[in-house]
Amino acid sequence: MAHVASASGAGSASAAGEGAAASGASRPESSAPVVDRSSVEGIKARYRGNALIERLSYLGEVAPASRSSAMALAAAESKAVGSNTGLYASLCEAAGTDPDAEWVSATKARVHTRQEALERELNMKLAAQDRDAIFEAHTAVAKHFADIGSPKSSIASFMRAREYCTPSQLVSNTTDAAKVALGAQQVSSVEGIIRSTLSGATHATPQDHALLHAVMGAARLQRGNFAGAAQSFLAAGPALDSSVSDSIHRDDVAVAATLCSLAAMDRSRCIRMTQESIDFRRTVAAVPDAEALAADYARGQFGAVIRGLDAIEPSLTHDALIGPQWSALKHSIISRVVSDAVAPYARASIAAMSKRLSLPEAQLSDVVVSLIARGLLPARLDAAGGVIVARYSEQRPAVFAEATALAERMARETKQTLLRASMEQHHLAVKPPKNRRTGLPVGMAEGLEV
Amino acid sequence: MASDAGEIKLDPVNPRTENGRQFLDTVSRMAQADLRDLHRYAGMLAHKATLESISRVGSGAVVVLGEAISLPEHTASYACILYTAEPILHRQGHTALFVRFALSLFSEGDRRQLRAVPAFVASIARALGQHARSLGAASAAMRAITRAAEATAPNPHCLTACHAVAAMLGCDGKHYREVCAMADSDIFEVLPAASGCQVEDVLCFYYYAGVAYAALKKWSKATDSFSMVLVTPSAALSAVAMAAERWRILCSLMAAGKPPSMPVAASQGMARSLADDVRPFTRIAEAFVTLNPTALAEALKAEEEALAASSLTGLAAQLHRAQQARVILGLTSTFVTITTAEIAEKLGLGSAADAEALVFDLVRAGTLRASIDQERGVVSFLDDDATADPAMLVKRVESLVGAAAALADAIATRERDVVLSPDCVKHATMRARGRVSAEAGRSGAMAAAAGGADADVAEAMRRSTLDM
Repeated sequence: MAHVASASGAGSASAAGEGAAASGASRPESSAPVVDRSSVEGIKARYRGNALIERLSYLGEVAPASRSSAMALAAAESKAVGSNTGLYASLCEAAGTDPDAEWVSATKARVHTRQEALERELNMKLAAQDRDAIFEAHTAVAKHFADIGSPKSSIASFMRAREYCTPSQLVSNTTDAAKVALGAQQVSSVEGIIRSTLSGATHATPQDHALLHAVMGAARLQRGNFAGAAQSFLAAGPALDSSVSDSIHRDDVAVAATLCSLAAMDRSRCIRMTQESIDFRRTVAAVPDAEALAADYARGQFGAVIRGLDAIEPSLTHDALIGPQWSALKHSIISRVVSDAVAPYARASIAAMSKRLSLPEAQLSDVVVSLIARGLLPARLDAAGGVIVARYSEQRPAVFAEATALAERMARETKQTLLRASMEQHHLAVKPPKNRRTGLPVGMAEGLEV
Repeated sequence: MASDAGEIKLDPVNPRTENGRQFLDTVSRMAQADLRDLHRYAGMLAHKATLESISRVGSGAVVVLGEAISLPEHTASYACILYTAEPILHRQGHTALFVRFALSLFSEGDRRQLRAVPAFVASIARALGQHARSLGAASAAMRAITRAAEATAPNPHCLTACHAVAAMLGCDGKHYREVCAMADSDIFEVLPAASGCQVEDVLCFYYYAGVAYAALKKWSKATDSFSMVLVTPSAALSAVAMAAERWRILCSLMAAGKPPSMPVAASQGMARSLADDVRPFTRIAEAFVTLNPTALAEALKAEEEALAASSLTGLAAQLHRAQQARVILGLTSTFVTITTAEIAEKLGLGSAADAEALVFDLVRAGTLRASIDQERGVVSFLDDDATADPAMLVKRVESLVGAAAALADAIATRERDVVLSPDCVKHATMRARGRVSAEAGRSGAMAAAAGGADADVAEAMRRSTLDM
């Protein structure tokens, strides 16, 4: 009970401490009005081109309240920067506005003419076997496809162009393909070429490196590989666009890096990669919420971390990069936080931990049970008493059971082998039945091997 | 010869007839025969004329066994004659007489002499097994044949036909403990020449041993026994193997909570061959491992027909309970205490009382270490005390090490048998000879063979070369 009391006492003391910390150092105040990053204005302030269109479309789908304004802006951007008439028309429909029919028909004609010209150009260059020219022609075709909203064809053309590119052109080819993939949420299709470019690129600028790492991170995040995503996002560093980006904004990478690190890295590594990394601190400084999360985790203010997650949840569920994986990310972060919070205790009261971590008791119990079942928390739950009890590893029973099982398995397999060897030695075997007419085994009588 | 109220009236042998004299003469010579000559007399008995004379003078001729040939002095002769007379007795409707004589042979016969006539003993045992069942004498037959099995086995690890028949009769008469006691004696060798064992005996013995273990709820041993059926060398799939695999899957679920893997020593392609036949049982196993009671219930309902066809409905009905036990055992790694209401919710039971009853049964069976606070409705899981008693630990380790050492000896013996077998020696000799040039001659070949080989092998090669 003393331990339980101490856990409760520690909980309340640290909760009080966290309250002080929460009101003080971890969230620096700013006099500038804070723009909601997930709002239409917030997205417009950070993105342009296809990246803007993609993010506004996602916002429109998940936030009914912002749908018409997001889709209207996306439609306007689509008309301004591209030739994707299909996308323009669907965005207008979603926004409840009428598309500019004149622009649509003119654009369609222009697209058709341009496509024919590009294909002619490409065929001429292929016939001439001029590698540089072929590369340029394929790249032009790829950009055209991206322009008209055919990302798969665009990426395929970029891949074909790679066969004709010089080492100095390789990086630009990869970054162009990466931007198209990112804009179309098809990042997994370019993961391979990004990996090979990063491993051998000597002509890449810091911006190129940052972009490629960020796209790789996005691909891994899409697959649920939070550890890999954290590594890639952290490697992107501060070189990405911090103004208005046509691919991926530095602030979004900072948030993703923070969340993936919290979700996937063990505590010491997470602190090393976030708090002790100058690059990361520069990157995340522009996103106070993310910065606070990382700082709270490093200081062991676990309740503040969970409250912080709840606070940023509304904006992140509307984010095209993080939104699809938000619930898995949040679950992973909460699991890690609970595990770190409970691990030092011999006995910990569910009620006290629940208050400390700002989690409902039922949810905390579920998380604890899940952690125990996955072998991530060496404890057991006294459900009746509402206490988590540490399970100190007593190796002897497990070792003995394992040794016994191994010995029994050895004996069993040896006897099986001995029986079979004995039977084979004396030519005892189950033989197939014989055909009465031919006297041969049934299969052989029919011409089949038995 | 009329059969009157179960008593068989037989005509006595008439010594005044030529047939009768011939038969009596043969029998009395057999009585004095040396074991080495027995086969000659067996040949004589099997001669058509003698068989005809036996059938002509009637089954009364066989009554002579009780007078001219006595047990245990003339055990081998007794076995020889009974082996010959069995088809005649059966054909003439005197099966009960055969059973009586066979029981006497196995109960009173001399062990050494029985061991000398393994083929006769095996054949008589098989026939006795078959007839005893129909006459309701399975239990007596089982006891007699078990004695014969012990007597005729060349060594304690050797399987004989008598083992297989005894196992079958034991399961028939529900003498499961006796069958298990026989199977517990580590049998993994066959010596057909010395024991009269055939491949069917191997299949039947392990199959019925598995059934007996399963009847006594020794699921792990049952699974192992059925696995032995699968490791028999096979050029075709047998019905016994298919039945054994069905049993094996269900027993493995009861023992370990998961389906079994194919034995490493099984024939290649055995798993493939069995896959289609045991698909219903594989589906049941897949549902079991999900630990979802609903999924298991649905799978059992869907495969009702297959279970009934294999007569495994009773065993399958126990899977529910087994799955529930697995779920509760799984809880012990996560919880120190848990309410019976929560257990009932996890298992989909009707009430906390049902959960309490289930936990009670598991604790009483020794499967679960827990205590129940009935007032509060709380179950407390206790720590495993497998290592609490050091003396018990030491004893267990000693028995495991002893068993491993015995198996190592068996492997060494097997290795010697193989290496010194005529085929292997011949092959080695021819190989050695091929290495030496023709000019070196025979002695050179022998020397070369002896120089590079084990001493026993070299000696065997030298003898085989001289024989050539």
